Amino acid sequence: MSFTIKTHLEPVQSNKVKKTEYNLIQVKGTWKCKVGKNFSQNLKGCVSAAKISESTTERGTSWTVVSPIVFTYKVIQSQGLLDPSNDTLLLGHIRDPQQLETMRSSTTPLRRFVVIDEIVYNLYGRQLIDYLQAFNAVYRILPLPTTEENKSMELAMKILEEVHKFSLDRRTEPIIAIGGGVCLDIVGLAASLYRRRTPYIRVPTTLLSYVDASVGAKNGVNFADCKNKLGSYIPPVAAFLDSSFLQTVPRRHISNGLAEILKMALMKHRGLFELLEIHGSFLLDSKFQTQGLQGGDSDAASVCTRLAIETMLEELAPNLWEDDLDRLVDFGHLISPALEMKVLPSLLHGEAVNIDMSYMVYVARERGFLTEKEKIRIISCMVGLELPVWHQDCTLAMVKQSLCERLKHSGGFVRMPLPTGLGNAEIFNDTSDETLYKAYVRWCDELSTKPPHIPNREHIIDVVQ
Amino acid sequence: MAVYPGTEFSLQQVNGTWTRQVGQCEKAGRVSASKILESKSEHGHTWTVVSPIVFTYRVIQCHNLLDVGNDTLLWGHIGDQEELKAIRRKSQPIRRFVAIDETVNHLYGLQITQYFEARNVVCRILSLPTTEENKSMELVTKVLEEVHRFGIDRRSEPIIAIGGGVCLDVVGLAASLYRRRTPYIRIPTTLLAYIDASVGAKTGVNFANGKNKIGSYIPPIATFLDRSFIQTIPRRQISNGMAEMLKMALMKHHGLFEILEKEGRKLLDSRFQSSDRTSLDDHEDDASVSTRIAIETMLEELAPNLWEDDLDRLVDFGHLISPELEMKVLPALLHGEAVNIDMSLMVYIAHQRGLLTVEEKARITKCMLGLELPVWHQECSLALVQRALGNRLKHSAGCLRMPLPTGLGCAEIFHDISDDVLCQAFQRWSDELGVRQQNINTNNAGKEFQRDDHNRR
Repeated sequence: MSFTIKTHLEPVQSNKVKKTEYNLIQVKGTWKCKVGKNFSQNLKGCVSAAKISESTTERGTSWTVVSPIVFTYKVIQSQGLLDPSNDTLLLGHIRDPQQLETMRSSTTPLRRFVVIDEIVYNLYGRQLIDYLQAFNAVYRILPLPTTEENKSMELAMKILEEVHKFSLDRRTEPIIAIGGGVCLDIVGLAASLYRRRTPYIRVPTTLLSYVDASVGAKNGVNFADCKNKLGSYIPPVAAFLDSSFLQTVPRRHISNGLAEILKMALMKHRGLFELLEIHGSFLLDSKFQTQGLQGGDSDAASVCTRLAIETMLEELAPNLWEDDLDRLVDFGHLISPALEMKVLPSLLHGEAVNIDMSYMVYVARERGFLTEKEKIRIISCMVGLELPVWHQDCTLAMVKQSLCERLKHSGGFVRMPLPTGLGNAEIFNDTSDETLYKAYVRWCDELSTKPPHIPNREHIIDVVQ
Repeated sequence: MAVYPGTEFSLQQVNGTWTRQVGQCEKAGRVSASKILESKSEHGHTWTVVSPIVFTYRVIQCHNLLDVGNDTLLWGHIGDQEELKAIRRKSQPIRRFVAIDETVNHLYGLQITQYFEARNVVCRILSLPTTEENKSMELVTKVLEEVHRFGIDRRSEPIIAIGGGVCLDVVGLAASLYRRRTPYIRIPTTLLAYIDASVGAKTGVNFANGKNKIGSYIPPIATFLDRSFIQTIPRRQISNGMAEMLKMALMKHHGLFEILEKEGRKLLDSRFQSSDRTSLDDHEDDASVSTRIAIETMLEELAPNLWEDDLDRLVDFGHLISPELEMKVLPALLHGEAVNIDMSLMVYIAHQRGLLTVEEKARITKCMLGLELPVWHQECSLALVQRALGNRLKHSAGCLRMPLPTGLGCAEIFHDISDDVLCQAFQRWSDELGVRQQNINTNNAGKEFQRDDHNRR
């Protein structure tokens, strides 16, 4: 911009709008707006990715700032996170090899603030303390009762008070969160707020958080009796995934996590679906502890977790802040929020998701997107994973009400992800009331009995639709 | 930029599904700006996600924001004409939640209500006592409860904040948190907020006796700047805002400095109101030029560093020592006043280092006094200065990062200052300005202050 000061400008015609686009160049510590792309060769300076455009009318001037902020974060699978020979927990988030070397060889003790779910602390607290002491770290461990009921701003503020007392240097001392989804969400929010942004690390200890909560940006707390009404989209600097935590997770909670893995399989990955179909029981029994046992990563547990993460990352990375409302990862999440809240605490999150998915499979079948055989295979798989496929509180009224809410909050479209084959899906906005009704009746007929009446698939001859 | 080992994947969307691809994306489909890098170790896989989020926001200067004929308040945040047409065609009632500083509401509340009524907008106006003492999470929670009660469709109903810096910060934080991100609009009503708080990304509240310890970097979707709010501001508050203008002038803009030097008193007297506002042609007077340049220079420095990842920030000038001073004597000094005292000392340091001539130093000091800003304070002791610089070192990754003017309207960032230079500069500053300031204070104490009821930070 040329800044010659004029106290009188040429009179501007009423409809004349003068528009200029600027790049921003930094020379000797000062940023300046420059027009055009051909910068003088003498101006050796940094060019910003941010841009300013200026528009002048007789009413005044307006500027539009376009500024990209790049989020970079690591998701690292590791074995033995609490083994003192493994420094991932303390240094795994560092991306620059030189910085890593400096930290490794430094004699200054590392400082870490760790928030850990109470129950997880009872099981792993000793190991954690031993680990931190082995590194001569200066630490503060804060065990908290992280339940859905506690998931509030009060708890986040409590964490902030303790973080503040610890006197954290946010550039070198990321906060570490160890626990299930609730714990990771609350700590994530507290960290996002502290000094406007403090780096944090997620260590998921349940299967659900391993495949879901740990790899995205979202964090939050409940507010005014609504789930996750307050929060942010600030991702952690890193998530460390160690499946050995899963061995102390109850069987029901392993099923719970498998529901989210199944979701990704149904939406995007036939191979993952077949793996769950064939090895689901085994994974449940072994609690994913066979990972890497025989060397290599081709065992069912390793493949399963890897595919679950990859498919999640594929869908989350391009839409980190959910600006695009068409989201395949919403499958199983249109009706389940209402169901989950209604019967709280009798259904776990993944169980509610599965019931939603189960119904949606019937909707997909009704619309001819799935064959009868495919439908049966999916439901059988769900049952094999010991997940509920029906619930009496999931009424047609609840379905309709939920879809109405969805419409309201999604810019007027229902954006319903539906499977269009095994491991394929699309988003639909035009499912009729009649279809919903017919699917619902069939869903109840076939699945409301205990055990659910799933026709033997060998006897079904697929009719090509 | 660090080089990541492993395979780099692009992300392409085909038929609603995103898939990773190595190398160029061949098929037709949307390609994301995000990338995933994957590598393997004996423990398993590592993925690095690189995802840019683009913040776009508008800063609009206009006259008569509360004029019923002016669309800006309702639609100024929408840049795309097509989108605007589509929205205006909709039959649903327009709804807006407005959070406004109590004192501002007292002065402008009626006009605001009339504006929305004339345009058939369903409106909830929440009046808040936004003071530095109240600037807390409790106040944010109160705003959130009211927003929730009103029910907001965050895609089409941005929250509007009207007030000074404190109000804009508190509402900005509430909006950032609600449903993880609700768009909001800032309307600054003080000069300080006009130039400073309104054009950046920062929001926040105080916590554990520390200023702005909790907050976010989520910018508003738009800021509407209307100088006419400034006419109801007390004179002292206008000087307060001019300190931040002077800061930008000293760091980056010789022309702006000259305006403040020559016309500072007039701007103060006229409260930045343009002399002839009914004129239809674009008649730029000192008030419009100076505010425009202040915004432009601020935007130049803030846009490339929106989240403060780069710690070398010219806009930190006047902010190395002032936070400590301001908190120490609270509420005796307004923010801009503390900033000016800091800048005044820094000018002496710059001169001591040979960066400024004695004439330049004198001109700057004279300008500051002309703007009726304090240039010295007895609580700003050498010990306080050293302590503040020590903290600076600690929180800026071990580097001092001291912006200093290197002429009138240009500056650089320095990382070292010898104790000698500091002490000598401090001594000279105290000697030359200490008595001067004390005389000014005595004179002011003798004058009768005009009591404005528009008296808040």
